Formats: sequence, C-alpha cells, structure tokens
Amino acid sequence: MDPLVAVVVLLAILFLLLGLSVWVFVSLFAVALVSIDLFTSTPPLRLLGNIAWNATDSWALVALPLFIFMGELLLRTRISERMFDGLAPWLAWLPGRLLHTNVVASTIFAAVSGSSAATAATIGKINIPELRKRGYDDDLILGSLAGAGTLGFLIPPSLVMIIYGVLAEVSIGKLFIAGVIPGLLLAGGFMLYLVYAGLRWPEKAPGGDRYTWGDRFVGLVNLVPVTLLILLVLGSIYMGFATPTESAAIGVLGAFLLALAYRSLTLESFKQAVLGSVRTTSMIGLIIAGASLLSTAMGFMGIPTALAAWIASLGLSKYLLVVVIALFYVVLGFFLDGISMIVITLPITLPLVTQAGFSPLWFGIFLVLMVEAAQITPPVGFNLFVIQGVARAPILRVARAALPFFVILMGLAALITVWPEVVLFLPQLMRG
Amino acid sequence: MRSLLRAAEGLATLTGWVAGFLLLLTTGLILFEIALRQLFGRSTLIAEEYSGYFMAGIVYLAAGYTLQKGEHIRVGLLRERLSPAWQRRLDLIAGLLGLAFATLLVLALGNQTLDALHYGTRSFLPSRTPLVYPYATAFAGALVLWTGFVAFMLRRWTGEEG
Amino acid sequence: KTKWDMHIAWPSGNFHTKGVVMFADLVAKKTGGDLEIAVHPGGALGFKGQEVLGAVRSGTLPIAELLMGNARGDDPIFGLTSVPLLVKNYDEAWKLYQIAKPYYVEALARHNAKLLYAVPWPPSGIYTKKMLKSTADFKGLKIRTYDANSAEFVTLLGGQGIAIPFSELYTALSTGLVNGVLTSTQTGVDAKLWEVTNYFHRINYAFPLNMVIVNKQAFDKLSAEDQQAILDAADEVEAFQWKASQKADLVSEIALKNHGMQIVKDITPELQSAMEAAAQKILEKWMAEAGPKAKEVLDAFQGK
Ligand code: NA
Ligand code: NA
Repeated sequence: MDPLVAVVVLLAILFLLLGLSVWVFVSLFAVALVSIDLFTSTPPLRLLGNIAWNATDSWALVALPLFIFMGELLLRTRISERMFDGLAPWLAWLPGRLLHTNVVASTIFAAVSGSSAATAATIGKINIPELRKRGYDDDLILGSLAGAGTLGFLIPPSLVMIIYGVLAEVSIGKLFIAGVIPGLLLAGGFMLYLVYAGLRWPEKAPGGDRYTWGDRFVGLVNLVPVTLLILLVLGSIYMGFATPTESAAIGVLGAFLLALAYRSLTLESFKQAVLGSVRTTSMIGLIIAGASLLSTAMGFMGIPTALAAWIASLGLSKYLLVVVIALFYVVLGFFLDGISMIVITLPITLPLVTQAGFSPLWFGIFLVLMVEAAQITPPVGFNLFVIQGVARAPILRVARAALPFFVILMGLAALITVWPEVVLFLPQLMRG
Repeated sequence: MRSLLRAAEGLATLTGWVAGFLLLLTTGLILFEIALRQLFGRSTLIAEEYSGYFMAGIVYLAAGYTLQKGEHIRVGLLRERLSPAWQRRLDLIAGLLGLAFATLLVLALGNQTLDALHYGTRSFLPSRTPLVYPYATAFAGALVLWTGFVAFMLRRWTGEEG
Repeated sequence: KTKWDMHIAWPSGNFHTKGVVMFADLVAKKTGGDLEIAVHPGGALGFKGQEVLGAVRSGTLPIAELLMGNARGDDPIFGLTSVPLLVKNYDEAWKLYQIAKPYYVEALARHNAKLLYAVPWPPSGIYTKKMLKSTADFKGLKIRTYDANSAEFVTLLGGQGIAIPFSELYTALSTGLVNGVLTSTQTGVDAKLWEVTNYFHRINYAFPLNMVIVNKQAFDKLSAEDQQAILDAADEVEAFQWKASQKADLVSEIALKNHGMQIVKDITPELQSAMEAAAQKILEKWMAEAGPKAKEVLDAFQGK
C-alpha cells in the first residue's frame, strides 16, 4: 500500500473513532491493531501484549506519576495559594499578570524535569485552580500552560535530547547547553504573547490592584516554602544526590513534609492525593501504550521511512527542505509521540539535513522544537491530555487555546533556521 | 444485576487502591535507593527495575477505576451536541469498542503471562525476578478494565447516567 | 517473495548495526531477491532487550539481533559471555564461542529459534576521573555498572556498583552522582565520555556476544536454497564482523586518545590479582546457576 494513502486512511479512521467519542486510548489501540492485522504479517495479539507491557514498564515514565503526586500534595496544602499571593504584588504592573507564573514556573521546573508532560502536569495541578479562582480567562490559562509545559524538553535535563544525542552521535552535554538560549527565547516569546493578550483583553487577566512595597515584602515571605522545595529538588540533581528521575521522589517527600509543617494534610486529603495521581497516571499511561503500539505498527508498515525517503527524492533547496521537514514532523506529530517520531525517522532525515549544510547539533534543537509542537497538537498530544486531565476541560478546547503557542514555537524554529548561531553560540564556547 | 454492578465497582475501587499503594511503594523505593547510596555507598540494584514494574502496575490496575470515575479522556465534540437519547446510543457504540479492545488486551496479556510461566522467564537484571508476577499484575488490571466496560455498557443499556 | 522485519537496539552508526545491514544486503543478493530483510535500527519497533527472545519465539519478530546476556533470564547459558575476565583477548573469545556454540544452539532450539551468527562487543573497561592504581583507589568510587555481575565485581573491589539507566548516565557523571563507568571503548565514543571522565582502564573485563537469531517456522518456510543462502551470508558476515569488532575497538581507542582521554593499559599486579579473585567468585556463582552444562563448557575451554 502506498504509504501516503495509508497515512490518510489511518488518520481518517482515528478521527472517526475520536469523533464518535470513543476513549482516546481505545481509539489509538484500535487503529494500531487494525493496521497491524491488515497491512503486516505480524500477529497483532502478540505485539499488543509486548507493547502494552513494555511501553508502561519504563523508568523514563516513573518521574511522571511522582511529579503528579507532588503536585497533588502541594494542591492540598496552602503552599500554592501562598505562592500566588506572594507573586501577585510583583506581577501586578505587567499586562498578563499572574498568567506569567505559568511560563516562569514551567521554565524553572523544566530545569528539574526531563519531560514535558511532567512539567505540564505539575505546574497545571498547582496553577490552574489558583488562576481560575482569581478570575483569569480559561483559554489563556490552559494555552500558556500547554505551551510553557513543552519547555521540559528544551531546557536541560531533557529526555528527548539524550535519545537524540545517542542516535545522532552528538554530545549530550552540548545539546543541553544548546537548548538554554532557545529555551529562554521561547519562554520570552510566550510571555510577550501574554503581555499582548493582557493589553488587548485586560478583562482576561484581572487583578490590577495597587500594591505597596510592604505588600511586596510580605509577598516574598509567602514565596519561601515553594522556593525551598524548588531548591531541594534542583539541589538534589545538581549536587549529585539524585538523577533527574529520582529527584521526583525527593519532590514528593519535600511536598509531604511541607504539608505536614503547615498542618494542612489530613488522612482523607492524603488519600485523595494518592488516588488522584493514580488515575491521572493510568489515563496517560494507557494513551502512551496506545501511541506506542501505533508507532510500532507504522514502523512495521514502513510509513515514516517511506515518507522521509519521498522527501529525499524531491531534491529540495536548503530552506525549502527545512520547511518540508518541519511540515513532515508536524503531520507525524499529530499521531505519534515525540520520541518514537525521532527514533523512526532520524536515520533518513539526519543525513538529508546535514547534506544541506546544517550541523547535527542544530538539528537536535530543531527536532526538540518539533517534538514540543507535537505535544500540543491534537489528536495525540501528551500535554493536551495532561492538561485536559488536570483542568477537566474538553481536549479540543485545550488544543485551540494552545494554538497561539504552537505558532510561537514554529516561529522560533524559523528563527533558528535563519540564525543557527542562536543554537550554536553557547556550545562553541565548550571544550572539545 | 444491581449487585453485579456493585461488585464490578467494588473490584475497580479495590485495584485502584492497590495502584495507590504501588505509587507509595515507588516513592519509598526510590528514596531508599538514594539514602542507601548517599549514606552507605550501596545500591539496591532493583530501584530502576521495580519502579518500572510498579509503573506498569499502576497504569493497568487503576485502569478500571479511572474508567469508573470517567477520567479516561474522550473527545466530547459531537457527544455534547446530541440529545440524551443519542448520547446513550453513542456511548453504547463506544462502550462496545472499548469492551472489544479490553477483550483483546485480556487475551494478549494473558498469553504473555502464560508464556512467561511456561518458559520460566526471569528478569535479566540482578533481581532475576520471574516475569510471570509483574505480567500477571498487568493481566489482572486488564481483567478489571474488562469488567469496567461491561458495567459501563450495562449502565448505559438500562439508561442510567454514565 | 518474503519480507522480514528485523529488530536491532543499536543506532545506525554502531558496527553491530552496520553488520546487520550488510547481512540484509547479502541475503537479498544471495536469494536473488526472494527474501527482503527490513532492518529497524535504534529499537524503532518498540521492543526492549528483555523481550526480544520471547518475541522471536512467538513469531512476533521473524528475526532479531540482541545482546546474549539479555536472554539470560530465559536460559542461564546466555550469561556465559557476561562473566568477567574469563577470556583475555579476541582469540580466546573465539575459542570460547566455538566451544559454547552447540549449547547456545540447543538453548535457542528450546525457544523455537535458530542461531545465525554472533559477534562480540569490544571489551569493557573502567572510565574514571582519577587513575586507578590499587584497590584502595576503589574506596568511595561510584561506578555505573550494567548488570548483576559487573555491580558485584566493582563492589568486591571495594567500590560501589551503581545501577542507573544509560539515559541518565551523562547527567549523573557531570553532577558527580557517579564518578566512573564500566563499558566498552565503542560506547565511550558513542556517549562522548571524554567530556566527563579522564581515564580509560583497559581491564578487558569481558567480550559480551551479540547474536542474530531467527524464528524457526519463519526459517523453515523458506526454500532449501534460500535457507542455505542465509546460512552462507551469516558465515560471511560473522567472519567479517569479528574483525570489525577488533577494528572498532582500535578506532574507538584512538578517538578516545584524540579527545584527551588517558588510556591505562598497565594494570598493577595488586589490582590485577584482586580483580581475578573477584571474577572467580562471580564465575562460581554463575556456574551454580547454570548447572552441569556450565562445567562442561569451562572444562573444555580450560583444556581439562
Ligand atoms: Na528539562
Ligand atoms: Na500531537
């Protein structure tokens, strides 16, 4: 079967099932099983057993439930409320006001977590209820959170960069360093958009009260507990006590101790925190398993390889090639998760791009941006799933709210294509 | 039938609790690994492996419970615009597909578990854990998910709210 | 005309993957295009080390390449090449392979699979920030190890064998969570370990084998000529790859040197005898697990 036709058929079935409001994980598994049965000679049941198990038996995923748990615990203390009370006087003058906490908190948290979904889940758990309580516009809350959550992959440590580094034989250290400037630029871009939105629709970001320096000082005191927690988690990684994944457990312990210190944790609320985390984990885990099976199915069918080979055959000029490859990843990103996307296509796209004169280091950062974009495009976008789970808002609504942030991501991809120095400047200062 | 539904619900809640226990166990195991390494210069050698098993355990054991609480994501675009009667029909179609998938999952994970039992497959990691145990956990979760979809269908069939 | 999808965990640049691609091309040529092997490098099909033998056994994968030690949970004999300091060089590794081959073949047959060929990794050594001269230098040293044997080996020498996933190794080395790694020259180059360590100690820890196996039914379905063609191709690639492994070792060592890594070849006698004592303990443990077959292989290898 022509791979292009196959992609269209699979997408059509997937959209049909999703449209009929079949559960997302059931839809993904169903499309995957049908393709395996129809288009490959592999026994679908055996493959289902293998992938359903090993997609969830994964150390890389462990940080996710732990950070969700940390968020659930914080939510049940007064720490998150205090953090917002503390930030309000400092952000009151800036259009967009407390919406910026989504971006700032995600940027800081991204330095702890190697995953975008964990970043969106943790910050979402804490920020969404507080921002809603203060009357902020839901689209801006959810969109900025979906967008800023993706920083988890761009700001080191980053799971995607590690996988890319090993596959493309690029220094992981250089990739980490190279992500810093684009990461900050992206955060800056998101904040600029929030400033614009705050000016354009002031009613969407309320709270223009006047604050005195006294209020600001009291505010700082309110920021102490959350700052301590962040320092604890960051410190455990950068002082060499824990790996990034392990630091999630330290975060849980820290949040638990803070909750005890504030005497705001009851047995009942602890129980709710545990069960709530478990449900979010199961929801995301099953979707991840379904998406993995779909990736495997497409691998067996040879679809991504055929598409990439087709692009290679077009003989495009340098910049047109980047545009087509970006489009290619956006399309794949609709229904593959980021890591599978890289593993399956890299053997073909990397040589194409390097032959066109781009460095593998540059392409790593470009790919991270594509993977981030895939996190916030429907139907399969993990940040969308996480946020819809946390915020209890319809997924398409979240996707629409994330659109401006998707555009900003693509803008940054264009920027680093025209000026690769943005990516390459810092790594060039390193030895070796 | 009431009591059947209640039994299915009770089962899902129970395995949800077990999943919650696994989450606490994961946290404890990783903290123990860190403490052991920093204080005594040793490693459990199993923290990575067992956290993975627990993770898979949480996903599958809590699957039915999450379904019962309505927290598995569905795209509501069409459904929200329909009358209650048509919503019910749509739910029955979705439920049927869900049940079909859960049946395949039960078969697949059951097969995998039996295979590990038959060949006595063990982990290649230091623990040498017989893989039949972690596989069986996921299999049990799939079974509960299956009963969850049956309960969902029954409830929608009798016209009760999901 | 048949098509086989082939799993291999290593990235396309790795010499094992290059060998598999060469094998696929050779098979296509020798069977006159009857059999096409589509290689999926980097674990792109979504399988992990542990389940690969099971996937071939059930026919989910018709053919796959895997680290033999990963199948140890299915049969202890596959743990043979993970025993430290059992062989000292490529010649001995080849000799051991020839002696053990019938046992591998028999074990695989019980799992509905057939051995096509096997190729060793370049030997592992220890990467550290400071040079190791005696067992005293192991005190307080946290070394990332990759299996039970290697963790025990480091611990017996007085260090700490730490199990952290490869994906977190780089961060762990740069933050000091671990300060050493036990792995091959090739992996050292792949992970650019010169950025985070200074010394590579060539202790020739082990020459672990990777094997290419095929599902029995998938193989039996082919015509007798095509079967012979595959076996011929396997022999040809095996011979080529044993040399490629040695070459990869040398090339990687030069790459390490060029990036400023110190290669330590002279291991002090004190350290050497401590390592051999540790290895002996691990060997005995494995023999207890693997039973009489292990003794047969070792007796033959040691000329008893
Ligand atoms: Na990060
Ligand atoms: Na997407």
